[in-house]
Amino acid sequence: MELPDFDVRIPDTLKEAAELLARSAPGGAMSLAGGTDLLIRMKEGVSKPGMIIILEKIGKIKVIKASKNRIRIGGAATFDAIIRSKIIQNKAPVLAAACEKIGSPQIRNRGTIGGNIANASPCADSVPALAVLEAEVALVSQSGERRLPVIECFKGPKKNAFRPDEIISHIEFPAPKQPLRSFYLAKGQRKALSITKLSVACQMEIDSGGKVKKARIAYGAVAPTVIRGYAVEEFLTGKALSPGVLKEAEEIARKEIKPIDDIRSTMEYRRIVTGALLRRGLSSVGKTEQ
Amino acid sequence: MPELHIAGKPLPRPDAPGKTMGYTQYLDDWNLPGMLHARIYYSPKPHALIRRIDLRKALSHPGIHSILTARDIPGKNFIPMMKDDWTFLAEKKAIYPGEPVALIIGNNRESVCRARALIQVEYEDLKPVFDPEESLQTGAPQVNPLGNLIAYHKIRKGNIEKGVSEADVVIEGIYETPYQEHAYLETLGYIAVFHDKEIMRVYGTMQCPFYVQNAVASILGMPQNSIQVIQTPTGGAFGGKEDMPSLFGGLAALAAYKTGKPVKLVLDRRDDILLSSKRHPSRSYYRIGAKKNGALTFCEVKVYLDAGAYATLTPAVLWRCAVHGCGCYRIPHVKVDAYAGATNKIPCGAFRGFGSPQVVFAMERQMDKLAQALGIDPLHLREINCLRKGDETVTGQKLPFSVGLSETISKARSMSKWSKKWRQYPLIKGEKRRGLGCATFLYGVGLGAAGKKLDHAEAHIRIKSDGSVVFSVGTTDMGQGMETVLTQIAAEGLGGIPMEKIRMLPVDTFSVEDSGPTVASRATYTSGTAILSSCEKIITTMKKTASKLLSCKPEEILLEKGCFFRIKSPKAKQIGKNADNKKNAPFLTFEEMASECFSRHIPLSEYGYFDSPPTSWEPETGQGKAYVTYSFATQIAELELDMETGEIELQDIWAVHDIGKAINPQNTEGQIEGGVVQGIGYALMEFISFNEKGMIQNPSFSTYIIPTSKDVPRIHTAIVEVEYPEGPYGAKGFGETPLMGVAGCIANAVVNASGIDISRIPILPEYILQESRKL
Repeated sequence: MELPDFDVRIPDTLKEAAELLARSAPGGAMSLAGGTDLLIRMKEGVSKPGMIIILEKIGKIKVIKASKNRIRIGGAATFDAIIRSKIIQNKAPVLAAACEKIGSPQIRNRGTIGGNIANASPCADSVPALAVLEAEVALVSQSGERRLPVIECFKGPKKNAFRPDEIISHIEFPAPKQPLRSFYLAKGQRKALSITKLSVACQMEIDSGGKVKKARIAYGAVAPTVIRGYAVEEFLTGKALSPGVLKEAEEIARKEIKPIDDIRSTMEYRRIVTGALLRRGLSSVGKTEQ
Repeated sequence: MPELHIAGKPLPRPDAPGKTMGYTQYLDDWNLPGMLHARIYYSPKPHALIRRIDLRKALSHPGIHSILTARDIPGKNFIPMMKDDWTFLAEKKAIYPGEPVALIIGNNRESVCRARALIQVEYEDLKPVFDPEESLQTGAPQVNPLGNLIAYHKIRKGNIEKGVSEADVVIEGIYETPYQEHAYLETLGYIAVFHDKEIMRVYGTMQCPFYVQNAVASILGMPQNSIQVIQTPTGGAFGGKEDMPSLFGGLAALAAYKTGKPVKLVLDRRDDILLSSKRHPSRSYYRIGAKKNGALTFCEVKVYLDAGAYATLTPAVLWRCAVHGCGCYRIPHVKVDAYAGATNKIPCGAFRGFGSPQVVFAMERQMDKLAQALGIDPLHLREINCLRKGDETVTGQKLPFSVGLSETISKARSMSKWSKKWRQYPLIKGEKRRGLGCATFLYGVGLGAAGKKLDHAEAHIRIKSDGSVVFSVGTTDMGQGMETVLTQIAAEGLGGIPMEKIRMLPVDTFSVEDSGPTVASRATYTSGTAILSSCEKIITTMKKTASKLLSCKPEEILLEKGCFFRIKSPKAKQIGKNADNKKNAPFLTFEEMASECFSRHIPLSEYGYFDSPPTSWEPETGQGKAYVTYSFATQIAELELDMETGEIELQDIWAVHDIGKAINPQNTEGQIEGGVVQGIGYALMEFISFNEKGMIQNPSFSTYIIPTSKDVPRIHTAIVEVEYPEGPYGAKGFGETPLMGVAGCIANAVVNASGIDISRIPILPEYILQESRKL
């Protein structure tokens, strides 16, 4: 397949980019950060924008920074930049772990977190991590800025909830006061350069008595979109992570996901292994507590 | 064996700098003035009549020069391969999704790509069949114009009933193996130039230039002396560039012929996967038996290969499958029935191992099941039954020499510390298990009795007046290292001159005669033998001339390290070996001799020939000398298995190969490692997914999964050299073997770890989990 013809604009500012999008017919123009998903979609004829707005020159949306209580990641920050960021490593290791699972060094050098969200794939690795961080996505258009919780950014596989004139300017989430326990576990068809066939992200606070104060869980590639594990979260709250509790959490997880058979795996496999990964993750989190 | 100075040494590959630094020019790096681009329109239907082809819209697209269909072919619309069934372009009927129907030619790739979408073809759907066993039943839709039974081969040795009655234990099994995509780095690509409307030149990536020559002769109706096929540096092939270049090289030639302009036809990855051949999937039914002491009494095999729509190379693939079906063992009573059925899917062709990896997997699973039933160490069971010098194969062929199988077993046993581990590992319980598994196998070197007609080769060597050397052969380097190995053989054969003085010329159908295909692990021993024969003629001439110049008899000339010494007594002969004393013996250097011969008008230009030692085959019994010789190997895998996720973590693979003689041990190790990795993909992750219309669903490397470096365990290679006296310096072919045992030894290791009965590959985590829940 060959790329179709299209125009290219390289605006210097976010405002300019928003103007270009506003001026185009819906879907007529699309913004491109890393291009690792969009160009493939265009080659396959899935996306057919007449104009590409390259966000490369807008430095502001590549920045990762921490303010008092919040961490802010520019929409065009690359996975590699996120993995290397000391802020992310210290305050949100679950996101660094998730970004490490993505593609290859080349893809992580180009691909961006905003692109991963906009692509709206249920197997996007960064999204379950952002979901357990309770991140919000800031969308900019000519009419201003609005924010959506990351988990509300998706309508279905490859369908985001954004307007065609919106650009992801940044993602923001609360910075934990003290380091929280977390994990991101994913399975692919091979060890690298692999699309995730199921994943579990978790971040939790455990009180001094060893009981779960707050748990946030999300699953990837086991439903039409990334989903939160509300049932498991509720179940775990207030409980110590005993083997019996873990076993029960595993079963609850299996019930709250909605996996399917596809080219990468089977419904049955996803159901069983998602539960097992959750149990293993929780078990390791429990151990580090002692 | 004389002392060797260059052959047998791990010398660097002459093609390495260009390939590693990136300046080697592959086909798609070439562009010619006025060149047009071509692209294939293919049928999306599994089985349909072609009612009408409407090209009007596509032709009116900007940049389109012309669109060719079967009607534009001036010669025959048949690709010369094994049967007259395979067409360049479908005319009345399209019998698999991906079958070429039209060739779009235009000024650039974008135009031909877009115009492709504008071609309108009216099809009338016919009932398809997708399973080879179903296709062979009466009443099945007729796929192939010559009938759905593409080929059938059998072996009958001894008396199978007797073998069954003598057995104390009988093991049965049904096994399935998948398609495999070659996944070479460089996709198929050809440039054709109709030079002065007299000579059709076709350049491109390929294994078998003479196949392409014959294909161009067929499609254009031109004689061989008007067709020049030149191989360009070839970025991997693995069998995938044996048959397919005939189709696409032939179409490029048709385009150049019709347009009068140079035409480039390069497939992108998607088209390459959709339109090119794969490894044959198989289903096999096994029954083997042994006495209590482990001695095999019989082996009965029924195997079905899925040929796809056309025969291409299937009869040969199936023949190798039949001959290799009972493994590398002494078995008195044998019955093999091998069938290839046509289906409405992509034609299957050659792929490293050529019909044998399928049955090696099955037979090696059978051997492990037998070992378990008998309570014998599985590696020992193989030691009990393995072929040794003087033994007879299942086709009744006596093995007089070069049988290093038992050495590979004992070496692999000690390297892997087998004896200690294989009993302990099954005792480990819990989530994380460990397992060790083995596979032993043979590989018939060369084309064998089924490919007799093609089994010869020619080489030509010319010494330039400055003492540098060029040589031509008819076999190709596709990345496997043939150029290196043949250059070493030539350097050694010319009396130990440095490799750097020798250059292999691009393979060109005008420079030597048809040397058969570069397949079947045959390049080293066929072209190597031909090279040595031309070296011998040249050296004889040079020695004769040297003797005149040094005033002695030709027998008194000793050629060593590129110098012609005059020796008069055995004592003086030693002088030549000692550089310090060289001044004591009169000598001429190789360069001086080349210059002297040139000025004396003595030509140093010789052809050499390889003619295969005889082979034989009796089709009714499957008895005969199937192959000139065999390569042997033992492979052992060690792995960790997660019972809860079904994931396999390979730890180590030991690969011990008897190859006669390693002409370049470093290259041999590289080939073993590469083959093992390809075998890991076959064993653990690769599969083609089809939709209900037989269309491939995963034509890209994000959906067709092959191993990356991170999936590769430690690979320990070892070379066993049991000399093959008819090969150059004792070498026999082996390039395909490293892939062949991997699926079997990994499967057996999984069984050792978990007790799950593995009967198909790829061994995906999903499969393990499904089976482990049955335990």
